[in-house]
Amino acid sequence: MIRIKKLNKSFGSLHVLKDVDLSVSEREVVVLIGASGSGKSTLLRCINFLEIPDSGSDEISIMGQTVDPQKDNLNQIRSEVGMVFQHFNLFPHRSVLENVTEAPIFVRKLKKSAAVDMAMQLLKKVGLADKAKSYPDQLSGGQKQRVAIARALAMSPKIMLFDEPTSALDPELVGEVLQVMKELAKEGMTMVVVTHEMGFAREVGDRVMVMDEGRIIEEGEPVELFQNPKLERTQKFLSQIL
Amino acid sequence: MTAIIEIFIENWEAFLFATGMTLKLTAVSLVLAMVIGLVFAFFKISGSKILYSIAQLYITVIRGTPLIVQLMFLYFGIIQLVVLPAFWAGALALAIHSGAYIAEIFRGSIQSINRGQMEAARSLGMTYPLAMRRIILPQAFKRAIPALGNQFIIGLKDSSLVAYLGVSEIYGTALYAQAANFQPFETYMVAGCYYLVLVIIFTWLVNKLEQRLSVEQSEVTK
Repeated sequence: MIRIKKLNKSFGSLHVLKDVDLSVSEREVVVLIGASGSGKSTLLRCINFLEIPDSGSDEISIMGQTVDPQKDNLNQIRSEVGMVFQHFNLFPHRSVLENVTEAPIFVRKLKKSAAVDMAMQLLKKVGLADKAKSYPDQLSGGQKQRVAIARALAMSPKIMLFDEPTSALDPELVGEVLQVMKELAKEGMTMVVVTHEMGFAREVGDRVMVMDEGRIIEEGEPVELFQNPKLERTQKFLSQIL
Repeated sequence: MTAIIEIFIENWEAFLFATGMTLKLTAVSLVLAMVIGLVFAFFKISGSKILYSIAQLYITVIRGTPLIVQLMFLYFGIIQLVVLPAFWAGALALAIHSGAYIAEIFRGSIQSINRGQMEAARSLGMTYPLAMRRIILPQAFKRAIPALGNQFIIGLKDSSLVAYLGVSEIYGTALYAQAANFQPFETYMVAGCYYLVLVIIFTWLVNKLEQRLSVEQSEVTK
């Protein structure tokens, strides 16, 4: 589903991603962990081209299609790749329902009634059908994030990217968001998740990748990696968060 | 006091007509100014150095020179190219003037919207113009309302300078009336009251609009 070879990204003189290789298969759940500043979020944001990789990056292919960010229609690609942000980024001037129907109506050109039907189903799925008419500022953090997930799913993405989806939440609200993500994984959604929730990684993740200073330094099956990390750097990081 | 009331009664027809003229001038110039302001705000945030410089030059020149100079410059400048009625020359000058301030208001309010809003919109596959129109501008416009209202009030009062092009709006009418009745103090007092009432009504309308927009957003659901 995703194949990245020798991806590089710099911000000015700051070299954030260094020759990163990543491939994710269909229905796979990949969890990215690593200290802050290690490049996890940037890597995620490069996958849907919110950040444009440096030229000279070898190859990015999404769903079997090699992407040239200079020439290809990135909007088309982004509409196939859902993204969930740490700070939700719901549209505050639109109701919960309108947040979900906005892109299907204006990007996919769906009829309003069809978009509303689909949005209501998605809201039911994340347990918020009764909040359809509310506005984002009336929701708790956990509810906001579940709406954000429904909003991303409304574009029927083939891949879902999660950028620390629970980091801005009060501890008691983390569970409800993880629950929705677990169900998605169970349904076979291809997911790349940046998170510090090791329980989630262990339970749902097919593969864990550890990032440090812009490189993927270690990867493996979650239980194995958490119990027997090969690198000292990984051990140190794990001991800090476990 | 009685003199003021007398002047008010004597000139009410002329002032009523003049009020219409002031409102027309204000409305036309501010609608144009909003368009100009939005265009130049986009120039400033476009990321293009050329467009940015054009906008910066425009804003610097307009903010750095008095309105009356701009008005005369435009009127006597334009008259050599095309014959433009004084009303339209005045409205255009006012629009170009307010446009510079409104451009900065729009730029500030667009840039004050959290980056995440644009990112979320783009991540859903929206194009930049669509995200601007559907997501950023509605929020930015709402945030700009208090500053815009202020600018509108300034625009309303600035329209008095168009009297010097011979347009009979409120101030122009007072100018003629006091020359005829030799009572400048009372006549300008009456003119001042007309402006004051207009500004009070306008302020009330802006407040209403602001309230309505904030209610719309946090409508309580049962």
